[in-house]
Amino acid sequence: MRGRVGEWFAGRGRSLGAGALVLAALAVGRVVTDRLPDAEAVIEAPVERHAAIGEAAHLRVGEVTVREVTGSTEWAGVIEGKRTTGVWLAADIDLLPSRRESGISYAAVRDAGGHVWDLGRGTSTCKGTIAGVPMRCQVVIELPARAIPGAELVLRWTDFDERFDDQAVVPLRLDEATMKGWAASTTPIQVPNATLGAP
Amino acid sequence: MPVGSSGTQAGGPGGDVRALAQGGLRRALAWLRGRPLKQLAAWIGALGLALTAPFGGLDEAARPQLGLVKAEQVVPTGPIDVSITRVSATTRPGQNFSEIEDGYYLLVFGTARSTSSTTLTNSELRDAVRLSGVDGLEKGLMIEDYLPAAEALKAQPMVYAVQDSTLMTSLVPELKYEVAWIWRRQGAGAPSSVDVQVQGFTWRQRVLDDYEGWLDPAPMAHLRLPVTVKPGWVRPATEGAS
Repeated sequence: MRGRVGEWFAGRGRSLGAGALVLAALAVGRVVTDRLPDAEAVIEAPVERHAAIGEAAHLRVGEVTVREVTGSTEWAGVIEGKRTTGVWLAADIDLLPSRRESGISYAAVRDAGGHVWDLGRGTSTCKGTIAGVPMRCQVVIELPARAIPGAELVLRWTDFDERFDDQAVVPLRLDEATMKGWAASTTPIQVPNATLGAP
Repeated sequence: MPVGSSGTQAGGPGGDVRALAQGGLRRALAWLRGRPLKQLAAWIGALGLALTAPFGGLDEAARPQLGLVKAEQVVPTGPIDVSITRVSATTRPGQNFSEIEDGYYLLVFGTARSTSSTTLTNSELRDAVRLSGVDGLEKGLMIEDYLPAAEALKAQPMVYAVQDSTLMTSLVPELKYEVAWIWRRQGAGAPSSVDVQVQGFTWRQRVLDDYEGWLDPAPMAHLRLPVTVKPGWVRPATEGAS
């Protein structure tokens, strides 16, 4: 019996060899793709427009300029207000929309360590835009009361789909002294409705 | 088949083995086809039972033992460190709530601190705590479906920040919040005590799409706490007088 089986295998040497090569090629392919960055993630990642405070970032949906950044432990809006055990960061923004759907629905602070603080319990008044009409508005983000090295403010028109689009990235200086000062402030940041038209 | 093809002819040396194997398989299939359907089903069932017998067979799968924790003890659920401090019941917790005439709000107070590096949605926070064995709980926010005690774990609470009485819509990294998980209980009084369960999560990719996140909330720890009945919120007399 063993002789017959041996003969059966011997007669299929080329087929078995080809099969083994195919399996080896698949295994190599798997190893290579596992080590390469995800192509879709690279292609679909948003394009980042870097701008300092006071500079305009030219986005597809319009021009975004962060005029000033302040902070406190409380903010007060038209309908509601919130307190925090950390700090609230508020960014005053000038927005010149190029189209109707040009509001800022996504705002976040990120750091070099991979942390991302989204709008969360905060708010964005940069919505309800009219194409070509300047808007003055605010975003408010909750942060821990500690220095955040390498902090950047990220602003985008949508909070659910970032593919093939761009976003503004504004470097922030959130050092120990700044954050301590904001954490000691109990004066609410006033968050009125956005204003439309030239300031 | 072309003459000279190697090893595939029935008369060749390898062909004998294949013919034998094919013949045996054919006979086995024919024999199986001849069995009555009920008999086949019974055999499959018996085979399944025999294979699973070493792992418990038809026994109910053992549920993981719930750890008993104390009030204020921190329970790491995965994305959130949770602690439970106290429970109260009232007919109106604050001005943002409507008065319940035939029931109570049950409020489980505690703390929540996100251990995630990115902002969590309120679903993890909401699913981190459940009440067990309490009847009449509303299934979820604005879902007027009241559950029997056996299904109390399905009732989803609202979560409010104690500091400013606002709805917790998300949980940002690092910050620790004092929160209240709040259920509406209809058609029953305030219980003298409740069993509070803390649920843990598993980080995995969802089966149907490429979403990866904290899924599968399941009870991991519990504690029984007395319920303190508090008077409902009443608008101060100075307000609304004008």
